[in-house]
Amino acid sequence: MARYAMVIDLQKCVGCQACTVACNSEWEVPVGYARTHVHYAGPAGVIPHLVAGPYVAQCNHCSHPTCVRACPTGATYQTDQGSVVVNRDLCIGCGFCVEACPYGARFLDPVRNKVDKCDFCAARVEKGLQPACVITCTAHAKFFGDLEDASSSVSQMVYEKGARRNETPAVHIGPNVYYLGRKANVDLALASFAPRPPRLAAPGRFWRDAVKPLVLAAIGATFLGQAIAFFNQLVKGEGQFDD
Amino acid sequence: MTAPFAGSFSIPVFIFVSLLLGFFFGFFLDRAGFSSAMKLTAQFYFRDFAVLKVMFTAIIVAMVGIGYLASLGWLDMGQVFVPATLLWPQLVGGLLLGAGFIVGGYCPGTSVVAAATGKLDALFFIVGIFAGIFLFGVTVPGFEGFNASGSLGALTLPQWLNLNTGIVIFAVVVVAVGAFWAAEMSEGPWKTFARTYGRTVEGDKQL
Amino acid sequence: MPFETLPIEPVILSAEQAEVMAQRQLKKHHVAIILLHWFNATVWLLELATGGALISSVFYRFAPGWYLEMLTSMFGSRANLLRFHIVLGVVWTTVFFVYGIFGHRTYLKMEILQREVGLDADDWRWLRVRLLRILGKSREHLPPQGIYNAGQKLFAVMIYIMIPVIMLTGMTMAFHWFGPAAIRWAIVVHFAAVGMVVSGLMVHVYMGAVFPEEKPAFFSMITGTVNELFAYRHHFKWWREVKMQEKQWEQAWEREQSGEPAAPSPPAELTAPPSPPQPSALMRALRARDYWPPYIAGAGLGLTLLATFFVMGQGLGASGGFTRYLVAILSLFAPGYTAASAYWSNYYQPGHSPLLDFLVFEIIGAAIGGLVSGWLSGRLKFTVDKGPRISRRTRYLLATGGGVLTGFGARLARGCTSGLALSGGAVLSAGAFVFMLAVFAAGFMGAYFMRRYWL
Repeated sequence: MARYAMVIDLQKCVGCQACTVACNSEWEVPVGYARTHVHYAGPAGVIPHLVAGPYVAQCNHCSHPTCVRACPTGATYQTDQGSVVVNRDLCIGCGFCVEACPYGARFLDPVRNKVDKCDFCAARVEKGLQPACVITCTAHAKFFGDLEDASSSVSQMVYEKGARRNETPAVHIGPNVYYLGRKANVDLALASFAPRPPRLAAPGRFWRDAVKPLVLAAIGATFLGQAIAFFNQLVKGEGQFDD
Repeated sequence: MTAPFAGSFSIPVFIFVSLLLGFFFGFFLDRAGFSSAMKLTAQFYFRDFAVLKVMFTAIIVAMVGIGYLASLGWLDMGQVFVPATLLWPQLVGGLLLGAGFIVGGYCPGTSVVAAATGKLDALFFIVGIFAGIFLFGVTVPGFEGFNASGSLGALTLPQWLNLNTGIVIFAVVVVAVGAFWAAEMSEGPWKTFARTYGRTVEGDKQL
Repeated sequence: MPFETLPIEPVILSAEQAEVMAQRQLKKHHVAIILLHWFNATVWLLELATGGALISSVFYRFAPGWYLEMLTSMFGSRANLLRFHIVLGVVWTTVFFVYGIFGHRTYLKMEILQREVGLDADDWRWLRVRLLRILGKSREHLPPQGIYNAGQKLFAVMIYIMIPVIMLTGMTMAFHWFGPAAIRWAIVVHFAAVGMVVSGLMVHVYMGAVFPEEKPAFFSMITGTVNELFAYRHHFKWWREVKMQEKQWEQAWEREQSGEPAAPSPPAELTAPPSPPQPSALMRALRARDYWPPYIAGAGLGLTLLATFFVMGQGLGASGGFTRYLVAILSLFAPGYTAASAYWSNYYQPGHSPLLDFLVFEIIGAAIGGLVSGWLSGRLKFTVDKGPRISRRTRYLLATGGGVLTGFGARLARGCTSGLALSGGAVLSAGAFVFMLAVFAAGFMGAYFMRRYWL
């Protein structure tokens, strides 16, 4: 078991988007979309106390992901290493997970008609490589590793330097991307790109709350009716019916 | 994507949907027999409680449905129009409308359906409605104070009585079912309506 | 031949008649239908088994975890499971299309559909009696049935509607047609349609495989034939058709043998249909001259009201629409006054039509709905609805006066019986209930003074 996590040092980040470019070319992300992207927060406050800085958005690989339950087919699932990945063979491109993600980390790839997002470079990590964005980062601001390994750089940064997650009291589903930096900067970045409440799209609610209970009730009622009829048949015997 | 959707409609869709909903409105009014003044007013002579039964069945169905949809989160109650409560104007307006109902034989919605099925008296009723509305519009500056009195805003029964919505819905259903029962009981001895109504139709043929 | 003349109604058979009939077989199903039936059954079984395992989200799934694991390990991976489900679904769709293209002249003709899935009055009666008999509440005889009984027909109707829906939604998901929003709804519809068919399918399978009465029907799906006794007892109308056909053939054969030149016209009993075609229950309800029971009409009205709230965010109404028409007319003649008036300007802002409102179109729709309803019932007629003791002129005067009171009252109360009492009542508006009480109070009180005019 392991718990993969990423730490992003916003103080080091220069906002060059090299991570975006590396990721897009590594995973053939269609033009106009990105699995990771550097946004800019601020400026806020009054001169001379202005605060501004970058914020790196990507999938947070939450410990309690809302996208996994919204996915009907099981295409989105949590691996044993704690990362949330998509099995494209199972994805039917319905986008329930896109609605469910509070971080806007998912998008429907218009070329493949399937959902796409950061998977912590699962294929590279399997080969023992670092994720593409981490090795590309010009400022060495991104770190990737196993939180449960006490010697890893990420666990030191999280447990000793106090890296913070992008959570709010309303949405706390255990993101595994952590942010370091000056308090004012991190405050501003996290406030500017705070998670929205997860949503289950209308068809999903309709399915879960109405269609599924109704279908099960209909099947149950039919079954019950037949059980009664069958019981009657057993009681009366076959001869009764051949009048 | 929560209901209602009216805000997102283009004008042609809006018109089409309005016409369609109106179609079913008129259809069911006629099916209930509300295109006949005789049927409608029989209510007030304790002979045929169709008005009460249809109206309260409709209210129950819609009320329970709205409550259910809202509890599932599909219907945004914040966007649903709740008529404002203005106690005194609504009390007096109700008395006037009730009087107009028993004098004229229709109410505004049913008069449209009645006219559509060929009731000539309903056409006169509609002309009267226009006159009444015009009268109100030109005289209302004279009683602006009364017209706005007893205003409680978009108040609902649960808010007014300080009760849980579910309890109020349940209570309305219970009261309505009780009213249905009472109506069914009292209709029993009054079988004369069919004869009375039959005579009207006969009478018409002679005219 | 156990019968001299064909009975119009089922009669009690003598022992030897029954004996003879039990030995004779009548052809019921073409071999193409039998093959298609079992192909369909196999596909359904496999698609249900794989489809049930495909839904894994805890929100929607119904199959237990071990079942998902079992199917996944049987197919190697969930991706293979999905691939199998899609490929089989495509094959199924293709076979049905091929069948439709080659078989439509034989099987998809209107009269055949009518015969095989159209429900007539006997069928509806049959459904009622069948249900009561199963519940042990009735010993009434089942009405005679055609080649398929009403239960089979009802199931067929559902299948005919649901299979294209299942195919279309399946393809939408498999090939990402129409975009993500369509795919989201497609899953739900796919699931709902399959669910409906399955609940019917359970009855179908039970009746075919378990229920002793229908055993010959099950075997007819293998051999293509049923014995005449079963046909007589369970599908009397069809049995009669077959017998009439046989008689005609026999007579033609005899004529040919005896060398008669011209065919005599067959006896009237043979050409007359067993019973005149009856309209379906829905059609009868639509064409009924009587008004519907108030609870049924009320439920319809309530659902319309619910749909209106759901779609438009407001209820039904009438007087508000009248007001807007009036304002539109006023603004044509006196735009300055209308815009300046404190009251009319609520409905009229220059450059914005007072007519672009839900109630305005809803009223037109209501008139059309009333017209159609009246037309279906044959109720359309220029009449005056009035009490027996008054003249038409009195009625017109009263109607106009009542209209004035109603119009004034409705504006004062901010709504009429539809707009305030009905729609406001449904959203539990406090004022609506006050208004309702006032309307009924005034109505009952006024009724006393108006009794001369109505009774």
